[in-house]
Amino acid sequence: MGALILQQTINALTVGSIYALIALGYTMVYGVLRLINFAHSELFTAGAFIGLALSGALGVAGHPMGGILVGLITFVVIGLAGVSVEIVAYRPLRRTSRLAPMLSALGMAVVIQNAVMLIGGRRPLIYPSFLPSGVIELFGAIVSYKQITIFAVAVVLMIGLELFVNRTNLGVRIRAVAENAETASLVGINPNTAISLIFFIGPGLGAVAGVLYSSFYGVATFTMGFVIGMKAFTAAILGGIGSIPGAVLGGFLLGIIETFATAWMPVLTGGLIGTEYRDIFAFSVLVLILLFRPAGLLGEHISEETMVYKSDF
Amino acid sequence: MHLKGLLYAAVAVTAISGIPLTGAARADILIGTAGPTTNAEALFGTTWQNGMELAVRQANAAGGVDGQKLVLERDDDGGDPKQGTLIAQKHCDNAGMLAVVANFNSGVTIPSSDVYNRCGMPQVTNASNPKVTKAGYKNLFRPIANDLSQGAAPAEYALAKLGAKKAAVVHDKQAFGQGVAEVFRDNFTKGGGTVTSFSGIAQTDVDFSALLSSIRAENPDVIYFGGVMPAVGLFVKQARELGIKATFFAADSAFTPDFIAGAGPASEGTVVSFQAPPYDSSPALQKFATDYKAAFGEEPGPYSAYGYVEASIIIEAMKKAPTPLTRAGIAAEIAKSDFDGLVGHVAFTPEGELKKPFLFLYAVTGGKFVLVK
Repeated sequence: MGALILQQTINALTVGSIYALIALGYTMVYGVLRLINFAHSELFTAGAFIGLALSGALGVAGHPMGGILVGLITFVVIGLAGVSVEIVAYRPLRRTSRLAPMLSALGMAVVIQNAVMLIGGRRPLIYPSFLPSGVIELFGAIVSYKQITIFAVAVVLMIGLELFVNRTNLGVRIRAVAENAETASLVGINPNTAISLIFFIGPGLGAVAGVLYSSFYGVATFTMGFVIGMKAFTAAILGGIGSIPGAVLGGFLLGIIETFATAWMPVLTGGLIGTEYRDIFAFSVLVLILLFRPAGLLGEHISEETMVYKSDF
Repeated sequence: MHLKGLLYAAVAVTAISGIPLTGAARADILIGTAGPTTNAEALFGTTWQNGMELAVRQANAAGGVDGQKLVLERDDDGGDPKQGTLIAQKHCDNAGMLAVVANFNSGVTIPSSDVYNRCGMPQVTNASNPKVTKAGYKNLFRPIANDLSQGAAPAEYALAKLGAKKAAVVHDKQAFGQGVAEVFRDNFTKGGGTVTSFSGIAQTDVDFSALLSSIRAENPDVIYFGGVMPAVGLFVKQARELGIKATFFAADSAFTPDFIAGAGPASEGTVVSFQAPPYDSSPALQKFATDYKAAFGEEPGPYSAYGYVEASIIIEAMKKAPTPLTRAGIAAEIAKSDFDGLVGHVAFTPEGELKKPFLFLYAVTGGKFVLVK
């Protein structure tokens, strides 16, 4: 039993790492623009496909070192795609109602998904792994090097982001714009630079998550972003949308809730509720958190003043 | 003037396309077919229809039926029930169409058989779901093992040949996947084995780690997976990564190179049930494979031999049926079929099922499917 709990925890941390990486993109954009970037999940898919194309072009399938190179290039390519999406679809609508950019985001999601489908095809593609193979036994549970790598990459990227936002000059600008764009521009900060930066980093991290995800499961499909994007979005809300540590916490928590519920519901209900209902748990969490703690677990404290400023933005 | 030109063009096009159609209906005997030649199963559908095409060409080369030429009219239903019923109506309305090989998928065959039954069209299907023959139509025949045998044979093999005592069963909650998994479960239990768990997954799932960790704790000897690609490939791969040693069993949907490519070395040893023997297992099949390659420039697909057998059943019946040929006369002759086909003996029960269904088990050995039974 102990080994089983440990095994499920390891599984949960693996899937949680991926949720957390994607959730960062949602939370950063929301923190600054009060916009849910629905195109984010499709950029995640696009990242996985670009990783696949690169692995073929560079001939590095199965090499972890090549994987780092592929990860970096994918980060930059999808980061630039994210910046372009913002310039094309969100910037012109920034001063209109809150509804317009959201609809534009939904439209972008459809456009990107179709582009991926046209280029990559409709069939599920077999994905070569960039992750090292092999396993270690730990108190009766099996931990694969793949799982360790995913966890390590996610933790390194998340710590890096946290340091970047809190300890660098650019990070200060991002936080200033997030706090209040107009006041920030009064002291000489160009909000567009900060926003572009966010649209570079968020999708970039999502793209790395896409490469990790497809490498781990061994498959890429053009529709895979939808459900996983919804889950990462749930994770961002669970942790408190707008908060970077919140997104990380939400991602891991959601991974744990989902994995344990999926594993034990069939046992508790005698097979009536099977693992096919795994998505229900994530969305039940979403409903509960919205009902009882809409700001999320680590949600930013919203004073009346900031509410007024941000709703104007 | 411009509009007039367009009208003339339209009339001309109609005339040109109309001539060969009406011409064919008068002189030739039409056999229809509908299967997926686009979408995920395009490869299966296309090579299946090529098999029929080969049977028709060989029959024509041998003088046709009563001196008349046979023509195979190929349609694409895309595996879509809506499309399949539209094509069925079109075939029914064509008076020159005397029999059909349709459809490839159970989900399409079930609704289309209602349409074909209403116009008395002899229908030979490749669909394996047990429900296909439930309506009791006298014009519907299935010269292929149904899912009941597809779940039963692996259970028998696991118990008798592998000496398995415990099995974990997983399915994807679809008509096909759950159906074969239930048959496996029932047969395995009846044979004295224990089923440690019977779990469902979603067809689109890619992460099976939670379920597999539970299964690993159950320590089964065999794991049966009732589902389709890519889930089955991912499932086997992730199970091996978690250190599960059990032998895997999967249904015909895993009988594709994609499965071996997707699961990689983890696929080794997986037992897959399939309706056709390998093309090198008998002289007749070897000759078929050679003829097929000569005709289409590629290796036959997994269902090509079935397409050939299904078209042959119709052609044999046409040769025996009273002239002038009618749909009813051909259906009556198909029911009396009694000959050795490419893959085995063809004879039908009153329900239209094979008297002795053909089913073969393959195991992945050295990256290839090798016949084990």
